[in-house]
Amino acid sequence: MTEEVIKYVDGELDGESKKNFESRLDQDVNLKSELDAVLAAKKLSDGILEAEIYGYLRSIKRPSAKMETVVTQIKPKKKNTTIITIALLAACSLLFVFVKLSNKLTDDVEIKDYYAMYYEQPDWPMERSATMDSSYFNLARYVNDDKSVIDKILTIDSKDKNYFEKKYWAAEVLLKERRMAEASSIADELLKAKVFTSRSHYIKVIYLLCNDSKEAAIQYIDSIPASDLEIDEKKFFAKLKK
Amino acid sequence: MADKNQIEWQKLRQSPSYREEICRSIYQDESLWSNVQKYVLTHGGTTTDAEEVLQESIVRFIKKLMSDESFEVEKTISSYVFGICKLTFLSNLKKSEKPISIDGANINVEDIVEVEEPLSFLQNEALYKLILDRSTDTCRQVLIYWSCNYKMTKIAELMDYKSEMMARKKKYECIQKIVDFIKTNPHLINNIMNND
Repeated sequence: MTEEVIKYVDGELDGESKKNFESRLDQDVNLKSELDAVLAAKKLSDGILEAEIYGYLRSIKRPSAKMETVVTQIKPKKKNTTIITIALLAACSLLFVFVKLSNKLTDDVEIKDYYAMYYEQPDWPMERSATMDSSYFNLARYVNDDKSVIDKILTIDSKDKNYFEKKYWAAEVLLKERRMAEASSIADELLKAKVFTSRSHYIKVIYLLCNDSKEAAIQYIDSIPASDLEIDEKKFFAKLKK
Repeated sequence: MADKNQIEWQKLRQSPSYREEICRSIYQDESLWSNVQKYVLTHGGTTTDAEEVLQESIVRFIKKLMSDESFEVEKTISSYVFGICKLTFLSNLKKSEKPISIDGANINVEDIVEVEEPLSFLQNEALYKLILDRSTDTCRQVLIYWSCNYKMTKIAELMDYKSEMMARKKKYECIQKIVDFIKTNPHLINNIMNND
């Protein structure tokens, strides 16, 4: 039955056969539903090439430096560089004095400094991952400053077959957003499952640095089994301990 | 980037890896990206908008190349794709009901590429993932030809089949797989047909 329906959809039925087919359509419910299915298949096929091309495009990395260059180019031209330079110098001096004073008054700035000093971004999955399906695209958008996708990245079905991988990236997003307690909580879950251990320990250390103390972070580092760590984190922790 | 005369049409239709190569060369064309970004940013869009617009335009361009044998690019591929980018961006703006500023838009490809019709893939990415996972490379290729309305002789030639009959058999086999998939998920019919 399908072959005849495909021929009809493709305009391959000649006058008489076409007439005959159309008259049967009115009476035969099965034939009608077959036609609906073939039409839907044709519509779906329209998107297969699109899916193929999007697959390629989303796996290609563009050097980010170029984006910045263009943004710089469209900024308005400087009108009076001397005034702007003086204003900037004054602002920097004020900021310096403010930071110095604040450091003496509160630990808060020190907490932020730890983050600025030690936080390093992961290698975000700009290349298509074999297991991350469309989620990697949300990550790519997030990396390109689209904050609207954060909720999508954080919404993970517990039955998802890539649950832990998605959880890991959710933790990285939370850490980048400085939602460190939430990131640390996911890191605990990952460590319990013994997956993404190296970077999970890193997340825990950053959390402790910013929310507890450097001593607590170092104590934690000393308790990490060496087999949990990869070379980057090993180097980072060694540097931190010094 | 590849010039229009450097595209091997037969190869483009035959080989997914060649399509990937062409996409890559357009996508990584720095001057095109710079123009698209400038255009989008100066018309109230963001870098993310520019990225989406460029990707969508490349998809539309390749679809046009695949489906229209008589299609010819008048100037360079880069300027042609840039034209589609402008149209796509303005069309998306219209849909989002944001204020439009089209000073100096200089668009003249309206009659060549229809950008108002949404791309099927963007309507339902998850469904396409399922379908791609379930189909062989050969079937994907055959279904692409079917969607481009290629004649059986052309499909046989492109797929290197000895006869038109073999190509027809393969085509029916691949369509049948999709039809079976749709029949086992009947709710899909309405979703697919009402997407526009």
